[in-house]
Amino acid sequence: MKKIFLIFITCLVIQFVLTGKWASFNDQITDLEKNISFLKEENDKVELQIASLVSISSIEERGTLAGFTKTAAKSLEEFSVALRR
Amino acid sequence: MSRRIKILRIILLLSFLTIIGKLFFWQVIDSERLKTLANLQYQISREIPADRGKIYSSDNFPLVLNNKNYLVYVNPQILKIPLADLAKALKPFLKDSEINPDKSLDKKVQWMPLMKNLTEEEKKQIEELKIEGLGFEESKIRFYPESSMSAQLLGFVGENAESGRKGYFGLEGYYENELKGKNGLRSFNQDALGRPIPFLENIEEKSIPGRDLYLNIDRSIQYSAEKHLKEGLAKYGASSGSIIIMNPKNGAIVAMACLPSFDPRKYSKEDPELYKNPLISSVFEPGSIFKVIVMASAIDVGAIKTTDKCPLCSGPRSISNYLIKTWNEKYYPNSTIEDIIVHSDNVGMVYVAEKLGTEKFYESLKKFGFGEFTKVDLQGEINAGLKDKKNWQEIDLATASFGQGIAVTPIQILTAISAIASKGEVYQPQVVGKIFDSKQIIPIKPIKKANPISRTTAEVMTEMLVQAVEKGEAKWAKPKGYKIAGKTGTAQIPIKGHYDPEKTIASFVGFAPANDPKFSMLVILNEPKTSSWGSETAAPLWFEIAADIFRIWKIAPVY
Repeated sequence: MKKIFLIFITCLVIQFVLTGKWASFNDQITDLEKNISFLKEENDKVELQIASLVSISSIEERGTLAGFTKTAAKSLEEFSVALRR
Repeated sequence: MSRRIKILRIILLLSFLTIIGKLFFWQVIDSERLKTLANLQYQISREIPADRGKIYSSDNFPLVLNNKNYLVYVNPQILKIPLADLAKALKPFLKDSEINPDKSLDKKVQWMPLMKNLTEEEKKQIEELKIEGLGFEESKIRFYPESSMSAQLLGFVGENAESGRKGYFGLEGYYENELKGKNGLRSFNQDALGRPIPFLENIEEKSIPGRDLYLNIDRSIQYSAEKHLKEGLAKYGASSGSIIIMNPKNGAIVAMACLPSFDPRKYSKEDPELYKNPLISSVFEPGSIFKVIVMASAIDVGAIKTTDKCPLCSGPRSISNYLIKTWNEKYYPNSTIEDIIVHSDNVGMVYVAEKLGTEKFYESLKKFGFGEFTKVDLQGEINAGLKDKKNWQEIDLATASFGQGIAVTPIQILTAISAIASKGEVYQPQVVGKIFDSKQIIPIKPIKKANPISRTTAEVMTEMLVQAVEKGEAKWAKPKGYKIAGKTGTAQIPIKGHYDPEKTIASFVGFAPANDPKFSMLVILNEPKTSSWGSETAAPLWFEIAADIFRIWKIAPVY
C-alpha cells in the first residue's frame, strides 16, 4: 500500500515538473517565432532600402549630380556598314 | 398524504429526467451547432494576408518587392474631436482622398476609412498627433525599385471584384498562382460591442508566402534597351516602339522594352491600352524581315540552291493584276540567291516563293511556329493565326514572300529567326529562369519546340545575313570587330483595304556575334517621321544597343 502511494506521489511530481518544463518550451518557441518574424520584417525593410538606393536610375541620377557625363560617341564613318531595306 | 408525496416524487423525477434529457440533447446531439453559434457570437476570424512573391532580375536584383502600407480609419464612437478639427490635423497627409468636414459621422459604426496608401513614416507622424479614435490597418503594396522599368513585362497587382489582390498582365498575371501564396487565418474573442479583446488572439492557420520569381532578364541590358528606345523615339519621331532581346540558344528573354509605357504604381490612372505588351499582344505585317524565313525554308527543302540565279529579276512582275516592284525600283538581272537578300529584292523573293510552292511554304511556316502561340510565360499573348491553306491564292504567296499580307506578333518573328542563330532549333521563349520558395528551387529548363531547318541551312542563312549587314548603300555605324547577321524591314500599315501611303513600321532583326550568337534582337519603330526606312531608324538603334550588350557581357571583337 505504501509503495503504491509512493509511486503515485512520484508520478505526480514528475508530471508537475514536466508540465512546467513543456510550458516554458512553448514560451521559447513563441519567442523564437516572434524573433524570426521580426528579423524577416527587418530584412525586407533593409532589402527595400538597398534596392531603392542602388537602382540603376538612382545611380544614374547621383552620377549626373556628381558631374559625371556620358563618353563621346565614336565617329560613325569609322565603322560604316551598308544596309538596305 | 403518502399518495401526494408519491405524485410529487414522480413530478420531481420527471422534471429531473427532462433536464437530463435536454442537457444530453444540448451537450451531445446538438453540441456542434450550438458551439458554432456561440463562437460566432464572441469569436471573430480574420484572414492573414500572405506576402506576395517577389520578382528578381538575373543578377538577383529585386524588380518587384512588397512595401508596408497603411489605411487610416476612425471609430466615431471613440472620436472626441469634431470632424472639422480632424480634417485640419490630417490635411498634410491627404493625397487623393479628402475628408469632408461638413459630413456628420455615423455614431453607430465603429470603422470608417479616412485615408489609404500611407507610408510607415506618415503613420508614425499621425500617431504622434495622439488623436483618440484613429486606427491603422496594415497591408502591403508592390514596390518597384527601378520605377516603371519593364512595366508591360511585369504587369501590376490590382483589386478584383471581391476586393482581393490579383495580378494582371505580364508576369503578375501569368504567375498569379505562384506569386499569391496562401492566406492564413487568425481568430480572437470580441466584447459585447464587437471590439477585439487583446491577448485572446489565436493563429489558426499560418499564411504561406508566395513564391519568388528569378527572371532571365538582364537588368543592365533592359535599362539600356529602354533608354535607347526612348532616345530613338525622340530622334526618329516614332509614335511608339518596342525591343525584344533573346538568348537564341535556349529561348531565355534577356530584355523586353516597350514605349509608351505606364507606371505600375498608378495603373488605375493610366490608359488601359498601355497595359498590353505589344511584343506579344499586337500583330503587324513584318515586311522584309520575313524574307529571312522564306529564304531559309526554300534552301532547306532544296527548292533553290545557293548557286542558283534569278531569271525573273530583271523587272517588275505582274501577278493577278498586281504589279510587284522592288523597294527602290532598281532591278538586278541574274541576281544570286545571296543578292536577293542583300538587295532585299521583292521580285527575287517572289521567284523564291514560287519555287518553294504554297504547300511547302505553309508547312514551313508552321514548323517555324507561325499560326500558334509561342507559349511565352506572360499573360496576354495573342496568336496571329495563318490563313487556311486552301484559301491561298497566287498573289498571297507572292506578297507573303516579302512579308506583306501576313500578320505575326513580334515575339513570333524573333523566335523563328532565332532558329537560324541556334543552328536550326526553335526554343520556347521564357522570361522566368527559376522559381523559389522557402523549401525548394524550381529551375525552368529550356524547351526545344522544333527543328524547322538543318544546321547547314542555318549556317548558309547566317552568312547571307552577315552579307546583308556588310554590303549595300546606306551607311550606318556598326560596332567594330563584330560579325553581325541581320535584316532590315520596312512594312506598310494596312488601313481599310489598302496600305497607308506614308506611315510605315520600321524594323531590324539580327543576332551577334554571327559565328557564336549570344543574343538575337528585334527592334520595331512605329511610324517614324525622320525616315520611313528600317535601315535609317531601327538598324542604328539596334547597333547602339548591341554595342552596349558587347560591353556589358564582355564579348570581345573577333577582327
